[in-house]
Amino acid sequence: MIGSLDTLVQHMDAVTEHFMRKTAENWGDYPRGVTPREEVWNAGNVSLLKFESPENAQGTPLLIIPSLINRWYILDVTEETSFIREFAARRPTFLIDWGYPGTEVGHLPLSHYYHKTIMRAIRQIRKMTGCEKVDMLGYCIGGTMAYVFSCLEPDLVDHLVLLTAPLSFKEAGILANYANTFPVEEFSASMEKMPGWMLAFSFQFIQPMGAYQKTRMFHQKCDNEGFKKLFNAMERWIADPVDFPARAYYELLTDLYQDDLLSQGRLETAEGRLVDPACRRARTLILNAAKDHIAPLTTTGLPVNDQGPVSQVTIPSGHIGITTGKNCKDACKKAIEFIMN
Amino acid sequence: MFNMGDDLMKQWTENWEKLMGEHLEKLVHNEKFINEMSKSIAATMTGKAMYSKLIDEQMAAMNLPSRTEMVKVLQKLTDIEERLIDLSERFEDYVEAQSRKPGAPEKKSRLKSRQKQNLEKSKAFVLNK
Repeated sequence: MIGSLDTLVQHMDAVTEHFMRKTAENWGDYPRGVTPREEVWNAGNVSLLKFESPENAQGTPLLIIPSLINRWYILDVTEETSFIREFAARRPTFLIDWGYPGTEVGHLPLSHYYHKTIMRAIRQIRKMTGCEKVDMLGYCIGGTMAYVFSCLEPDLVDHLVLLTAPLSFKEAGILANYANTFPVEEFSASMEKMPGWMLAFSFQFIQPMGAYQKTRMFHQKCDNEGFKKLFNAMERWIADPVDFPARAYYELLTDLYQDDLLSQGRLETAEGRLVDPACRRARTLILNAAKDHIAPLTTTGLPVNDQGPVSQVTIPSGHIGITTGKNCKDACKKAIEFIMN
Repeated sequence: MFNMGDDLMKQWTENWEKLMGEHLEKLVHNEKFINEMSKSIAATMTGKAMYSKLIDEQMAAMNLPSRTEMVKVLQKLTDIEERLIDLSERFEDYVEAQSRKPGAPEKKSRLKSRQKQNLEKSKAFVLNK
């Protein structure tokens, strides 16, 4: 039944896409990610992207770890809001594109993504640039993964920016309430992946008036070309959902949300390596959002036994607003200042 | 008169939005509601698992590969690809370590570029002749 629903939703997506293309006018062909880039390595669904930088952009390379539950170009959605454009102007900038995982990777554990894949990407970056360490920026669950990696491989990470990254899941707000009651065993027995449309629906569900408010805002501001451009780019990003591999999703819900193993220092990789927060040595900036309902402020604090160097900046915006809203430039500036010092 | 109608409409919309917002917000945070929703998702998923099993059995009866089997094959292929990547990385590390040892033979790429240089030199020599 869920399989048929999946197909139905795909058809509906196609109809919506067609309708949007007709109404979006010139913005319909707007690129997904605006900074020029090339794929420098790939393995399966995953690829490593290198963004075009001026020749004087030297120094420790920056590796961006986007979230696994949506597409990476939220950090590069328009020229005016792009984080990646700003970083690439100053440093050699790389990004892990998780691609569109299908059923073929449904059996891979979460540690395959937060340890093995990041390790492979860093290996390629080290080969290309000759640098021993990288700076890292992780967004949302990508930030959680970057943090876990910095605990597992402390010698490889110099600076670490955690952009609205949940680390402690004990008081994770409404998402935790749903995660705690989610039927994980039934999910594990019946699904090879968590469909992207279901994830997108759940995010809309926890903000029930969101769609109405968005439509009303569009009605009020649709004459403004700048707003129309950003709105269209954002809608395209929202309408581009990504499936979550089943076992990784199961572990995300059980190990992180339900059992909160990371903040207790009890999280283990599939190979049995303990993720010890006390091992982190990377200089870390926690960049969180005051109105975040996905990773509330209570979730973005470091685990108690992590005594590594850390600073924190709170931006008055929401989870997505921090990357594309009116305060996104402040957030980007803070991240750049931290990385460049 | 017209303006008054607009204002009333605006006020009514704002009130409706506020009331609906509060009501729906309460609903999606309500524990009982969350539990019921979870139960209905669980029931749907159990149904899906049973349906998939039935389809698999029918495919097996017709001596045809089922979706589950196809997924298993795909996942095996992913495992093989993963293993290959691991092995090639280990091999690269080994070659790198060997080439760093004193008296190690030249790297293939370096050897190739030297061969190319020699070839160009000999071509130039032939042309000069």
